Amino acid sequence: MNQTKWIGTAALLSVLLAVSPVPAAEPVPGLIEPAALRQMLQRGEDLSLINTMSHLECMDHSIPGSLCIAGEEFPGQALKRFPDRNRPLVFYDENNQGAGSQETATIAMQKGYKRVSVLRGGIAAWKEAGFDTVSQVRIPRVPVESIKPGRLAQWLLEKRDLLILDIRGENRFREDHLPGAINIPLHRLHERYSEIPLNRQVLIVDDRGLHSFLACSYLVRKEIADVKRLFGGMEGWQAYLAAKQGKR
Amino acid sequence: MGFSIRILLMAAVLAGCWLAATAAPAAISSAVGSDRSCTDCHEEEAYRSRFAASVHANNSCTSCHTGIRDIDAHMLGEEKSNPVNCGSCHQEVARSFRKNSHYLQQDFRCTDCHRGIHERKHADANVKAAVIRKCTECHANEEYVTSGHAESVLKGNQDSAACSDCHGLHDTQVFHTSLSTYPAEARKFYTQKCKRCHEDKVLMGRSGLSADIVKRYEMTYHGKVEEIGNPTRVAGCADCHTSHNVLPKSDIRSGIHPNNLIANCGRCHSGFHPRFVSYRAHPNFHDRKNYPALFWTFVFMSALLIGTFLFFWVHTALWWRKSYWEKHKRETLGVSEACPAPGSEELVQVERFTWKERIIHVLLIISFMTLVMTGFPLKYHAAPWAGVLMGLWGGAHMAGIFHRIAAALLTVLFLYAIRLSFRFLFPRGKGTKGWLRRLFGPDSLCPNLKDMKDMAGMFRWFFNRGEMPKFDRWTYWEKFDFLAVFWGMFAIGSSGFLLWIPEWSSWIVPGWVLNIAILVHSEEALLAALFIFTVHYFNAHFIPTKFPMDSIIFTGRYRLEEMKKQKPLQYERLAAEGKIEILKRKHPGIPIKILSGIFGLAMLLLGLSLTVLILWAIFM
Repeated sequence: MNQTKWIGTAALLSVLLAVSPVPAAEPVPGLIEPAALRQMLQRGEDLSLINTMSHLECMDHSIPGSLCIAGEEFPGQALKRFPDRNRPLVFYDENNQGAGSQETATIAMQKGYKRVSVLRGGIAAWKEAGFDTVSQVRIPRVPVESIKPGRLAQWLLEKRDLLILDIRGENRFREDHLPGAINIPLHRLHERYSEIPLNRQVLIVDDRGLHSFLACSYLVRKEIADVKRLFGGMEGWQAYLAAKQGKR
Repeated sequence: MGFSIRILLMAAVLAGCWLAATAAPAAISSAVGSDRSCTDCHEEEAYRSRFAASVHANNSCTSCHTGIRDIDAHMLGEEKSNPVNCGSCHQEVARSFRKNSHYLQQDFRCTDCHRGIHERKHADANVKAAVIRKCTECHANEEYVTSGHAESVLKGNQDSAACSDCHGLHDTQVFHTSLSTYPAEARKFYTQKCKRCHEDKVLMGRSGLSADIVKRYEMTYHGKVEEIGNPTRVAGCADCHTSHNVLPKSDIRSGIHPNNLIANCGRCHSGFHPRFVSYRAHPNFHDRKNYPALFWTFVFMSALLIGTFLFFWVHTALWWRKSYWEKHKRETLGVSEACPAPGSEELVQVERFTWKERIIHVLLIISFMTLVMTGFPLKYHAAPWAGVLMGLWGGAHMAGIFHRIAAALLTVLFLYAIRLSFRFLFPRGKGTKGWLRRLFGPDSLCPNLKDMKDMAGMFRWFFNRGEMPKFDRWTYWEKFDFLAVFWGMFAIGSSGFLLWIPEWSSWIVPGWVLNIAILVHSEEALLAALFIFTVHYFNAHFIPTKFPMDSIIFTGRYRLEEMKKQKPLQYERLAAEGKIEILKRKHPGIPIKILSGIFGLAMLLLGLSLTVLILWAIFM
């Protein structure tokens, strides 16, 4: 009788395990090469090409035919702008080394969009392939001094009068930021730049140092003249702290 | 008169108006190419007098601002000019710029650096200084230009490096070293840049520097692995000398000042004794004055190599000549060697090598070949085959691991051989009694007086001045083969162990001893490899009487008839002692013969191939 009970329990468990749903793997967007994307655009294929960089960056340089929808804004705009979930969506950012377009593409798949791809290598790969970009509102780059983490550390120690402006997304800022930093995400900078006082030295901080140059050049055009940027961004700062920690 | 003049004047004015009325539209309608028309509206001085004095003065406005076909539409804002394409004239620069990381990552355009394009004058006579000033507008000035190359350029030294000499001008690459890591591709890229100038004899001569420094760096482990191109972390130039503000060793701020070496080396190495830093980073073993220990080590090792090869290659050549001549004579006379009658005792197999000795030899071959194939691509890193062979191992780091495994195996075999030697000299039950007799006896591998006589006898035989000497169990060349391993293990083994984990070795010896260890290890390896693949291969396999291969070391046995021919004194001794019977064995089975043949032939061919590769590397 006992043996029968055990066999029955084992059989029941096996059936339950067999029919229970297996957790689905996270959807992964496809990757598309610059040459393939270009061919699709030249053929006039019906797709939406989405630049997930900030509005300023998108206006400054984009692949022809792109829509400017910052990665942070896509979740709120997706269904309004792309009601057809079968519509092919191709996302890209500056170079796909940051989270940008990959994250946005994953969100799109989670929202049920079925044909989602990411441009391999971002706009940098597009340019490297020799393809042209367009500029609707070009921000001329101005000479902006880069401050290395070591020097910033010294300034912080000296309690230098410095406004540290973190242009990363709100979530990133919440995770970790420099002491005393304020946050205006880059995709909102063109709306909120007036919050920045004109008479203070401003240090722009981004994630890896690839966005701060354009942000500085934009602010100089808005007459915020004394701007500098943190070389290497927050990643550079964290590497500096880690190296210092290791030496102790 | 007055009235006439007024009429004339009026006529002139009317004519002038008429001309202006008819000429103006033509001028404006041919606005494409007409500077004066553009500046009628675009009035700034930048487009007028300053443009006329600029480097582009010979261009018209529409050379760059193309696309305006209708000036009226343009003036109404209905037709704009095309974006300026500097590459339409500056084609080469535009092609380079497409690879520039400022363009790829930050979307820089020409006018972001070349600002004020309408007023731009010709480049400074000191282009390098101009480059430095331009780059440091953004890239923090004090870190890059307060000393070193850039400071030198700003003081007028055109030989020194400006930003563009290392980073490129319009094709700047970035390896994102902002994270304080130094990717392998960055190290390779920038080390090549350093080498380009520092191996230029003329350039270095002007600055009173040696152009040999690059060659000497390439002879170190760092330089070899960096050159061979496998992704292993080794120091490139900038790892020790820093990338910017490169200072001389005498400067207290320099990374290579003696006070800073521990911190400098400590960026990669850990757990070392402070005297580790007495290791010379790129020494010159030809320099007796500055590197006397290295110099004399080199002299000694060179003499050892030359002496050994001179003697044994001559010995081998004379032996081959004599043997081949005798074979040829027999063939010419139609004389063949007498074969023993079937079933005769002469055909009976007798043991020469025990099964332990055979296995030891197989393991020795495997470890030796592994050591050669992992070590020589590093020794001759510049050879065309070096990268290929290193790649087969999976890179320098993996090759190093296999090298150490093979070295450990060789060490075990060496220690076992020492144990066997001790057991031979001091057998159980006899202690030290008679050990000298055993040491210099016929079964010993220790050289004795007879060996000297046999050597002299062989040379007489080579020149037809006498018969071939009669040998006992071990010939003098077999003893040399065995003892050379002992010498070799002393030299190559001790140097190898010091180099195994150099940081640990610094607790035993100072760093400069590692320089000597490298030299000894490298030269001894060459001696061992070439000796085995030429002299030993000939002695054991290639003399005409044994060609193409003698598999006795693998089967362990040979015919009694062969013992009588090759080791006649041993045969006579054993026969007198009645010990022939106990040595008799069965004929080797087919499996062992096939295995011996395959393995032996493979190792022979491998050794010969490696000899060709080594000689190619030496003489290329």
